[in-house]
Amino acid sequence: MKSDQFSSTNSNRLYQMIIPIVLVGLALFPFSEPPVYFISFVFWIFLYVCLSSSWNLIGGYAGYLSFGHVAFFGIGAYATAMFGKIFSLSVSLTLLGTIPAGLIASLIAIIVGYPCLRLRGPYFAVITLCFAFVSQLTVKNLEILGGADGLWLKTMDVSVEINRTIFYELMLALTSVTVLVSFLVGRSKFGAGLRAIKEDEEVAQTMAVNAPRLKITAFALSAFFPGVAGGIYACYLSYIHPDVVFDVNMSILQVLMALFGGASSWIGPVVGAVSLTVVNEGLSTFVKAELARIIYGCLFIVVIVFMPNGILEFFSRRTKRIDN
Amino acid sequence: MLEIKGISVSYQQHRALTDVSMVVEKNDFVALIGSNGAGKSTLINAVSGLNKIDLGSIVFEEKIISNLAPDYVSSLGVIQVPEGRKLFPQMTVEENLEIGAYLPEPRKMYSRNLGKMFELFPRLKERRRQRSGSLSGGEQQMLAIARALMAQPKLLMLDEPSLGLAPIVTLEIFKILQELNQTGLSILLVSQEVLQSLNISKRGYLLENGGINLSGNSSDLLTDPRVKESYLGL
Repeated sequence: MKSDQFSSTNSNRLYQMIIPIVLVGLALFPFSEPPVYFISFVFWIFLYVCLSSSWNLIGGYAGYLSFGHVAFFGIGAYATAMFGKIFSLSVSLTLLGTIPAGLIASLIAIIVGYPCLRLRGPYFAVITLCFAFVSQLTVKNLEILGGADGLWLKTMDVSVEINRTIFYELMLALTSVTVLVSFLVGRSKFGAGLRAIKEDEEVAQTMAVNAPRLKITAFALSAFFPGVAGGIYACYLSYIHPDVVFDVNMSILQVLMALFGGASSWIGPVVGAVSLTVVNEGLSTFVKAELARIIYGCLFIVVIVFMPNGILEFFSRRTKRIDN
Repeated sequence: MLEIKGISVSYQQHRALTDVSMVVEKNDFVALIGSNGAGKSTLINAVSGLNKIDLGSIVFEEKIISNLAPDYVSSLGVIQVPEGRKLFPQMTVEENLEIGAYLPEPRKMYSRNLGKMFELFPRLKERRRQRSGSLSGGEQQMLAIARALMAQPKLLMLDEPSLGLAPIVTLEIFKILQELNQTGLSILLVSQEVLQSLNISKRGYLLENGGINLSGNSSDLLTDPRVKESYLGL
């Protein structure tokens, strides 16, 4: 179903043409000297595309709804901050620490995933949510990590515009890699195995799919990118606090974004993250904040009830029906 | 090829199989018959590694496979067609077959085997891009068998392949199984269709209340008074 819609040769050729143009356009955007607000706004879009796409590896393809992915984001942020602090590095060198931070997030995902991935459905969702709370509380209570005061990072000695542009480009690069990985996994044998696990784990195993190993690999991979993103975010903010980088709302948002777009394909989370971030920002800007929340919530209800497979599949079914 | 040596299986307190032994030779076609709740599926699932056994052992090609992970057992070439088909309903026919060819060896032969399957089951070819959940019962069973065959099994185990199918479709499927056996595939068939499965198989085992009560050549079993009375209604 998924491969039918997105991997036919025609649309492939279309993607091959459009994607580089879009990427170059996005990379050049800050140089058209837009207001700083827009650079930050698009940075946020990238961040959410990255988070929901990486969540999709385990949540969408394998059907293991992790509600604790923000923990990996927070772990990445703190790991990067500590890396910079311990070696008292400059911001640009601290940024190098985001890669080991991502690896630490993956390592923790393996340790946590080993017992947790034996649980399924709502049990897995709940235990990952608990994991997010527990990691937030742990960080809050560890003096060495700044505790409830948070951690300060060094700031770059450049103008706001240049600072924002640098982080914009970094996040664009990370997001592109994340989406590329999600795309490649979707077409690979690995992805086929994950989808089989989502449909029926026992049968998948009798078809020689090594479910435990596949799940833990997907979980570790889906923790890596949020870890790196958390590191970049820490340098971007230059101040991190457990309530900010372990915010469970962020966890829930990335799940909703992926489901909103359609969690069975690589493009679903991208569409979901872009559209919801834009809608959310538009609502908060033009409507009162409380009203914005209400509209936002109603939107989710409509999508979950009427388009359980996401907006993409809903609309592609529509057009198919018209074609027929 | 497959040797089951005195295994016992329990579900919590409840003992489902007691001291069951049976053998499937190379190129054999064995029918495992018995009524509801006799333990037929339990036996097959124990071979596949889905059920853990308490006692005894299961040996496949000189390797002990009892209580090993199901994906390891299937990687040795012991492939099950589960009861009730258990397809991946959201996937297309072709995607289901792709999962069947998950291991490296079968994957290399994917296109060749796919062609073979479409030859064997022409209706699957017509429906290759259709969601497998939307197929008819007979087509789903064919797909389940084809998916298992894509894994290039050495031993194919089928759990009630005739469940819920029209007699004519059952006949078609059993005929295909017989053909497959003639090309060298070893088959273990679990079925309640006692007459038909004994007709196409070479040897048979009768499972009753968690134990093997009778075994022998299928043709002999067909004339055995106990089978005749209890299962054939003669």
